[in-house]
Amino acid sequence: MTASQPSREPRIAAPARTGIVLGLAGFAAVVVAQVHAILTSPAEADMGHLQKIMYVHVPAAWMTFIAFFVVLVYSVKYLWRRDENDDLLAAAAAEVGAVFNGLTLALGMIWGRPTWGVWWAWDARLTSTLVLFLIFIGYLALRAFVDDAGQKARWSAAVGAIGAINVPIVYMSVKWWRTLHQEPSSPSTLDPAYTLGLRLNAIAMLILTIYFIRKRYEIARVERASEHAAQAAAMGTGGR
Amino acid sequence: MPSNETFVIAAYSITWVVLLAYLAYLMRRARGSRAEYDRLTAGPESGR
Repeated sequence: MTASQPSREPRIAAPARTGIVLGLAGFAAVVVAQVHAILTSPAEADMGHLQKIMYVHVPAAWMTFIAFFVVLVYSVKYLWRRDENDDLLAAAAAEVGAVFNGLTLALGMIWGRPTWGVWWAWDARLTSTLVLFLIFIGYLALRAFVDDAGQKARWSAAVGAIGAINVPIVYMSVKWWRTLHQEPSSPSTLDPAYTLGLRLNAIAMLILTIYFIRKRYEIARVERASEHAAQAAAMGTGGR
Repeated sequence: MPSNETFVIAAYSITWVVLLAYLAYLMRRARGSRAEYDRLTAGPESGR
């Protein structure tokens, strides 16, 4: 039997147009939110225009937290139900979370240099965010190096669930320890002149995050279906 | 040291580079995985 034998598993449908619409909406929303924030927010008393970095740095950090929360939920769900789709969704969210986590760190360094005079300081917020990033790079490396799908899913669910526990530590780090990093920026702690800009940028980035996770999950499902089809063809079972 | 505006421009530029680079990675990987899936199963899906 050749690899071109049809699989008896249900075919994975072509990507839906709603996904493309969501992606376009996300990028358009980010453009609108950033233009609005840059044009309408006044220079801050201490930082001047550097404050505008908040509109990308803070939403990127929030998206990191949201993505890793998704990892936690679907990792626990996988360990509970052993449904491979839960594992694939957790992995998709982990990759997107790692992208936003890396972006958060880079933007923080760019903001820190003119504000604190250094690119990096080993303070609690920065260090715990770096640890979070390294945990999820480890998570992705684990998935890349383990071949057995079941073992990969179990191990990464355990790492994902334990790694996501670091999220509240990152969030609370500025309250628990004396740090160089300021208190968390949120609509409740900001001057009203900056809240709408932050809210718009967070919503825009959230649309984009949902699109990225959804797209990555879609890819993972197609790749997993290909693995099943290849295994079935190799065993000569025609897709079972 | 560069001006504050330079750091703001750098921050927004890096944001867009990362977002667009990740989008490009997803698009390329989606095309590749779909082509592999079609090759392994019944060829390009028809009648949809």
